[in-house]
Amino acid sequence: MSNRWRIFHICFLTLLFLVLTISHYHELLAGIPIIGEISISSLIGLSRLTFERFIYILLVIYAGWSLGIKVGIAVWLVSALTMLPRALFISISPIDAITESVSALTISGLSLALIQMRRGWRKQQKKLRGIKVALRTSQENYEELFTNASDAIWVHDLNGKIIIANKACEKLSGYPIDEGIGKSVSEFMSPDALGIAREIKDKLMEGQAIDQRYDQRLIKKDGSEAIVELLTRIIRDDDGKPIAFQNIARDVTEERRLRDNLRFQIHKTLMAQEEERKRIARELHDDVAQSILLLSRQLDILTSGDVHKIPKAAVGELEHIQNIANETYKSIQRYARDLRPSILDQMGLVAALNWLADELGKELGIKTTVKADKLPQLPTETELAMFRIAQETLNNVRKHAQASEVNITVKLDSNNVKMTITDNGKGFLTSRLTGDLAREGKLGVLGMEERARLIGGDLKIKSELGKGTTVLARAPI
Amino acid sequence: MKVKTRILIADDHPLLREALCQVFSNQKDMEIVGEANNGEEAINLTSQLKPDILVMDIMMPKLDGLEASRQIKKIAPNTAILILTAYDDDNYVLGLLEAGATGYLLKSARGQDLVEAVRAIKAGESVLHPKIIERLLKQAMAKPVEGVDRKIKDILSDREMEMLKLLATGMSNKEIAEKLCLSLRTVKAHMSNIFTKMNVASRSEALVNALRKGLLTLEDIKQENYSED
Repeated sequence: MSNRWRIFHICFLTLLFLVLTISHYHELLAGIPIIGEISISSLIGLSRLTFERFIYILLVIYAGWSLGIKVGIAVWLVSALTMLPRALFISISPIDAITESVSALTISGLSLALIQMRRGWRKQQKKLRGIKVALRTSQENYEELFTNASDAIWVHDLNGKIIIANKACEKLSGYPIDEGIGKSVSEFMSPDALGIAREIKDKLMEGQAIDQRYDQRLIKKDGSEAIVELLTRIIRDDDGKPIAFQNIARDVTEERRLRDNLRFQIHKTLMAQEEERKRIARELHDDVAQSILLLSRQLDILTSGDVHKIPKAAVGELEHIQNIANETYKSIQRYARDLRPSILDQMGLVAALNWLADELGKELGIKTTVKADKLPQLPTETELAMFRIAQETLNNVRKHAQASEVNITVKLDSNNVKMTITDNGKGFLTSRLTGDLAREGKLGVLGMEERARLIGGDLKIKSELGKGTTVLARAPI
Repeated sequence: MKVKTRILIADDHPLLREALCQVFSNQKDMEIVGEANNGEEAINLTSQLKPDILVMDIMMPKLDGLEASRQIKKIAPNTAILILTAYDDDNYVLGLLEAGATGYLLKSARGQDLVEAVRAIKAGESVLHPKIIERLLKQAMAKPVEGVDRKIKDILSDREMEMLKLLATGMSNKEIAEKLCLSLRTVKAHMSNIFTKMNVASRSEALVNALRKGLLTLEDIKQENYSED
């Protein structure tokens, strides 16, 4: 209520109150002209005083209604103070007067209480309405989220029957939602996928933790396969009893295909690179190197054989030429070896690792040790992969690690050969390994992982700033 | 007349093989008994001809020199194998010796070096750098001793055992001759006997074998030259 209205009500109320009170005590104010005895009593059968007492009730109600409970009470009190003296001291029939006054006060008091109660009730109503609106908004928001989420979300009961599904499920499965609801989730799964689903269900029911966002394959309506990353959780009733499963699935088919293609490319590239290196190394070794060697041998025979055939001065020259040929031969062999170390092909992984270690030690003074179990004959691909992983790791040590010690261990157990390369260098944040490796020029790490994967093994890199780096490569035997 | 050293040559490159033959056939104390074109031929010819020394290229088709060495050591332990290799770093050389090679030379070695190496092997002298022998023996020691071979111990005379121990200290034939007041010829003859009895073709093999069969112990080896570094 605006202030102006409030002032108006107060003024009006005060005016009414004054007029009424003057009228109520007109005997005390003799001489003041009073509106003549209106014979209302003759009209409604009540005395004027009784009528006035009930007017007070109206005033109290008016005050309580328009100006609030506090003002109402105040007016009530003032009314009581005004009415009672007359009833007690002036009235000619005090018992009637007192009865009337008390009833008037009681009625007005009750009215005030009623007004107040109504007000409280209205207030609560208003609040409740606000809550309802908020609730509806949030529900709408949630439904909006659920319906339009880009992830497919569905809930199925413990038997696999789909209870509810969102729009994205339509896109993912190819079935319209209406068709999909009521179907069993097993209809969307191959036997393999079903196996995974059962395993997940059992684990969840037993309260075991699962790797959330696990991969799963779904069969679409058109029969094609979608690869999804799935998050599954149990929905429980109020007693904590499982009643359904909620699933959130992200379609990663394209991503996985791209990744597989990338892997395939890397695989091909690695193979082509190895083949090419091998070929060039062989050409260098079998052809170029042998010819130069032959040249050297012929010169040797010429100079060390029947010396009389050749003038002494020429012998020195020829020996010089032979030295050049020998140096050239050595260089070619070195190139061939860098391309494809024959030590690996001829003497196996451990000898080749020893060679790498010696080279690193000689080159940078890094103390490099190799501790290896006696290995059985490993497949050539395995030896090559392990060797290349070690080579790449040591190259990284050379370039980045600033290490003073490197330890290489090769351990054999019943199923695996495990190679561990540890340095005491400056280490790095492994989180950077998951970044954009290609852009940062760290394809070496990808290549290592890929090599390990190609032989059915895997590769782990552990590192902390200031605490060195450990590369673990495992290959099945 | 002095007995000539019988040499078999194995190299897949015909011109290089010819060059090698020429180097050896110019020597009065050596004769070429055969030429092999690859690892398999080398094995066959060795078992037929039983040459004193097989000079073999490591890179050959069909069977490389390394695998050929392993097999030859089984069928003809008294044939010494001299490997021609492109590389001479320690790990590589150790691999060669493990496979059964008596010695190695770089392919680019001069003809004169080849001839001298063959003579040294024939005389029972070491053709390896002491450091390499040291690592070879360390490797041999790392393996469990097979148990004292009574047979060999009984076969070797006291004099021969004494010589084996001196050999373990790294002494040359000449030094052994001086120490035992014998002629160099006698020492060489003894060496030749020891090798034959032990079924080996060289000093390093004799040492490795003696260690593994328990004829020699770590203390015998460590005495002088082969101290730990």
